Amino acid sequence: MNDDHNAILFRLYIIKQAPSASETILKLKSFLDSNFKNSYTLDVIDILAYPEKAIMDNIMASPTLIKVKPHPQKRVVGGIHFSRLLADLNLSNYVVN
Amino acid sequence: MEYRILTVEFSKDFTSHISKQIRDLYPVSIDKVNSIDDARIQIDYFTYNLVFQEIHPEISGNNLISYISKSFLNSNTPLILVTEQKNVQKMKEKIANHGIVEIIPNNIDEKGLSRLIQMYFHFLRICDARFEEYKTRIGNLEADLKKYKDYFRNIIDKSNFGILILDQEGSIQFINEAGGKIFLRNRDELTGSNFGIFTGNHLKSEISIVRKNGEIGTGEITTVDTEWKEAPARLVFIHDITHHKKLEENLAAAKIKAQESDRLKTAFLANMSHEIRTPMNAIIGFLDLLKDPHLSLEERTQFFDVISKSGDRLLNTINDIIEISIIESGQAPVTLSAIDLFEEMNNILSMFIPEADKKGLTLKLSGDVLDMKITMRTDKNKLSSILSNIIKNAVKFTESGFVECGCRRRNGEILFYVNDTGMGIPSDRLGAIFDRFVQADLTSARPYEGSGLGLSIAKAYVEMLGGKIWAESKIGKGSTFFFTVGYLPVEKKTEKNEEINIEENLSNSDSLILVAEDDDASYYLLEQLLTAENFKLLRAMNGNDAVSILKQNPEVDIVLMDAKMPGMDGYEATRQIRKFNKEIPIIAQTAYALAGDNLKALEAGCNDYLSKPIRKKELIKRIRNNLRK
Repeated sequence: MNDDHNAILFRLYIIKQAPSASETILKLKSFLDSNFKNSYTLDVIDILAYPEKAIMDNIMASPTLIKVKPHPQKRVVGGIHFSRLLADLNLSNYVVN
Repeated sequence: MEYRILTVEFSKDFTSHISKQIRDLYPVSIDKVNSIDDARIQIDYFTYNLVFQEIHPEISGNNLISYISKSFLNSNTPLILVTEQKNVQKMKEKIANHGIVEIIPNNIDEKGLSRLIQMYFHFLRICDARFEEYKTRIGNLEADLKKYKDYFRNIIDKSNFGILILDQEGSIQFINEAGGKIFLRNRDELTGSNFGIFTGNHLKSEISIVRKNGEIGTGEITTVDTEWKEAPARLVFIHDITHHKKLEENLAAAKIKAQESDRLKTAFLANMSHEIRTPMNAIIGFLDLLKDPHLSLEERTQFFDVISKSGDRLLNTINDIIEISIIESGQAPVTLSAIDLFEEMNNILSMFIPEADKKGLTLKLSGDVLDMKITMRTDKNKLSSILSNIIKNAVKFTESGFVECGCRRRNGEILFYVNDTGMGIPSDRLGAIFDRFVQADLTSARPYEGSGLGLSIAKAYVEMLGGKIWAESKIGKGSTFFFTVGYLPVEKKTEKNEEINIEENLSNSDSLILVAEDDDASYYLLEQLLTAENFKLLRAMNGNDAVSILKQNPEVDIVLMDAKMPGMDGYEATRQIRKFNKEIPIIAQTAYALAGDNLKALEAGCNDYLSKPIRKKELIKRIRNNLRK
């Protein structure tokens, strides 16, 4: 939908050493790939490595996924349910077919 | 209660007329004003129960409504208009829907006026009573409401669960006290901040809690759809299970440790059994062989050599077991004395010369001790035990090359190292070798004798001396063991090192020794050892015996006192002897080798102590040392 790589920007706060972390990251990437192809950016931030970033972003639980762009910002917390994610983040119109 | 009446624009006559009619019936005060403007001011200040107003004669049914609407009254105060007109019926119909207004002719008779006022006041009283009643009821309801509100507030606030209400954007609309505590944040700061939307279902799930100080916890989450201020919302319960999680993990770790320790104990028992049985087997077997009268002298010497070595090995094992049990029972106090590091390390290293020579190993001393004199206060016995345990291992596991021992002075501590060119230790075993009962590899180490306790003894002692122990190793290249010991400088008035070297060929060999010993085998051994050195002996069978023999034979030069004897024991006998002879040297013989025993002997008045089994060299050295003093 948009050629700009930063059109959709996600930030995932997670504790990388947690048992299910790598699975969560993999699943999220594949979900985003299949819905937004190349038109999104995902920053994964390890809370243990960068606690100050988490505090700055007011993160209270892990995992927290923030849709930074497009505005308005939205965040989902806890285990991600992909069937509802697009609706929850208001991104249904951005899906690339 | 007093009623207040206001009369407006009246002739004096009418006011006194009213006053006369009701003064006797009710407590009443009547105020009189002459203009509507004055009436307004008056009404601002006071509450009136009834207002009388005389209206202009020209005002009739047609302009009455606009007159009333310009009036100063509010509809809550009953107003009675007084008119000169005779026919008031028509006017009454006009104002039927305009509040509590009555119209009376100004010529109303006394009875009529009195009845009218009474009726009004009666209604007022009923209204007041009703009002009071409703006020009480509403008050009760309000109190109940507050009580229930407090109940629920209390339940929510005192709950261990964090309770949050999130709006559809995931913003916190409400959070209870526990919720604030879980995140280590202020509730006010949290309210309105974006927590995030739960996309998950409503069942329990786990999340990581990120606390304000960066600490991570674990939370069990339950969410339920709800409403908040008439909009859909999410009710979230968070149970902080960090502590439980930790307990679970600790429990699992403890279980693994227990299993490991169980395995180790089994291995230890097997190892000990092996370490005790092997030399025992040699001792008993060769003793049997020695009974054969046809053995050659060479064979005999060989057999004795095996028995002697096996005995040494057995004693080493037993010493290790006793040392570890002393450490385990916390009975190994640290006793500080001044030592010279070069002297100490050199002594210890030289103990291993025979074994190293046999293997062709070089023993080296290196580091700061060679360049400068280092004296320090430490526990000499423990330091010596640490070093000799490590060096013993190094020599044992090195087949060729060298074993090097040295130290470096660092800030406030001494770093010791023992370096070898031995087989090396696999990296995954490096941490475990200091654990009790563990050899680097149980299977491969089996060809090497030893209790497997040496390094754990060393570790325990290093820790007692306030240091750390660790090892670095490369398979096939060798290992280096490091440990640190806190450096305590020797005070200026240096403690005298009382150790006096024995010169050989001393002339006091014909001294008379009193041996207090109940056990025949032990006495026989002492007799053999001491008469060979030309000492003369007297024997006491118990403590009492020793005291009386010494009284009768003041020429005795020295006493060897067994600690454990029937009747009066060695400690008590020493105390008795000290009552009449403070000078004679007494050497205690203890069998337990427990730290407390030696202290007990010294406290009783002994000058020195020897631990059984008694070695000839040590025995003679101690006797001579004590005779010289």
